[in-house]
Amino acid sequence: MSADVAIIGVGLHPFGRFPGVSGIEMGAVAIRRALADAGVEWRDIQFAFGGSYEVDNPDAVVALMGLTGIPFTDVYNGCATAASALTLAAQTIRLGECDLGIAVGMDKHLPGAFSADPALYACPSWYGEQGQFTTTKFFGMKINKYMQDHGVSQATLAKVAAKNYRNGSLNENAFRRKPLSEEEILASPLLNYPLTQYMFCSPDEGAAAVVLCKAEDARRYTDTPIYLRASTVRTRRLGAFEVHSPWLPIEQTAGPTVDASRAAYEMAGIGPDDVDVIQLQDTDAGAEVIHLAENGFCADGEQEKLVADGALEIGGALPVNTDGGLIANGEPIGASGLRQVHEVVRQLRWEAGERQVPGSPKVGYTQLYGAPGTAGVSILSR
Amino acid sequence: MADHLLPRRGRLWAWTTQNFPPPSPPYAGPTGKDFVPFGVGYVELGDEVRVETRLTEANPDALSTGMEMALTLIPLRADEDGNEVVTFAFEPVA
Repeated sequence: MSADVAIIGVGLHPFGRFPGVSGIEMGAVAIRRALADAGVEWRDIQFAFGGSYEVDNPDAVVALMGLTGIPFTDVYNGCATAASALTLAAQTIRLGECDLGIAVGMDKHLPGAFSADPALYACPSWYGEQGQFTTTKFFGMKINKYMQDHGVSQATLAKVAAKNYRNGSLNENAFRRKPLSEEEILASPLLNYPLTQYMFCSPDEGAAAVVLCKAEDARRYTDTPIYLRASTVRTRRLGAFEVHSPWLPIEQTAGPTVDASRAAYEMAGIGPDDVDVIQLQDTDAGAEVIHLAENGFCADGEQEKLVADGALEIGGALPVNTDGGLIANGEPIGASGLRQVHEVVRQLRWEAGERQVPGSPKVGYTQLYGAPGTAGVSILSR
Repeated sequence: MADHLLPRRGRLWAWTTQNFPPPSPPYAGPTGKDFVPFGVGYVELGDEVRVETRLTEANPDALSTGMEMALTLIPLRADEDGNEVVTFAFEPVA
């Protein structure tokens, strides 16, 4: 993809718990902030894509924004929902029908692990009845196997989680703003070996929005357009080790993150060595460790040394989840990926304040992954 | 479609433990203070398939990748008439 789509505004409703505030209201706040950031009015917006799990129809946000008659399409792809909204928004501009649009995500979850009817995931009912229809135990199995295959320690998982809480403490929009020590993280209750409670993110509430336009128009709105160089979504192939799989074939294939990542690099004409700031799906600390390799930023097993050397810190060679990631922000599913884009855009505009990655970063990367084996990747550049 | 018998024994390919009660529904086993942690893993049956299964063992120190596992039945819950409902699980071969 050439640089044909630009991001000119980003907006966030803080992530956390907000009793009495609806998902739709949070979506409207994120939209207003993104519009103000772009210097445009709601009436200028020609189309929208909205993503949510809990809100049946994110398009209802027009009641709070203004009834302008625009096409507003709702999307849902689990934890990769925001990647679908962003990808479709970019494609709409690329088609040439519209010049200016918005992608928004909003959600309002109850506390506690996600659950659903297994039948909705094409899983047998006994799978849920006997306690296997949980996402967390998949993440436990995947990192436990990865640690044994590639020599990663539980202490490294605690270091990754501590880094994300530390970054979250610098982020005024984060859910969890209190740094936690590696000892506290390791001492918290074991949920799914080797993962403890504080190594996991929590479902929570929040919203995020991104205003996109045709790249050639971008300088009319801003001096620092951020170009969307690639945005991809992939689902699992047979043989991938994925969540909610009652069985797996013996022959393994790469997961959807690897597929989405390779496609995005190819589309952007950019490689992992060119990336200056990274957002990865850290459903748990182990997922961040694995995703670092699945997205091409290191070889399997190198994470142990990279983490020990501080490479994933804001000032490190591979800054990951500079805003605290899912571990510090929680996961309002529909908004989570646009929160990643929000952070990368701020980093690439060099306006991330205390969290700013040094060295004037020019290329950013985001990745989402979730049930039942869906991944999304975007690559952005100045 | 035809029945195909799989081996009753296999090797542990990946595993974790479930230390908190899964959300009910869909989980039908004992919950709250009656919940008992269990293991979960994939057992590789010959060169045919990997099946996801509950494990009778939930102590991480007693589980290791590659160990031999055998099929067994475990109680899951009681039905409305009080009859025991069982399900499949794999246990380490001593």
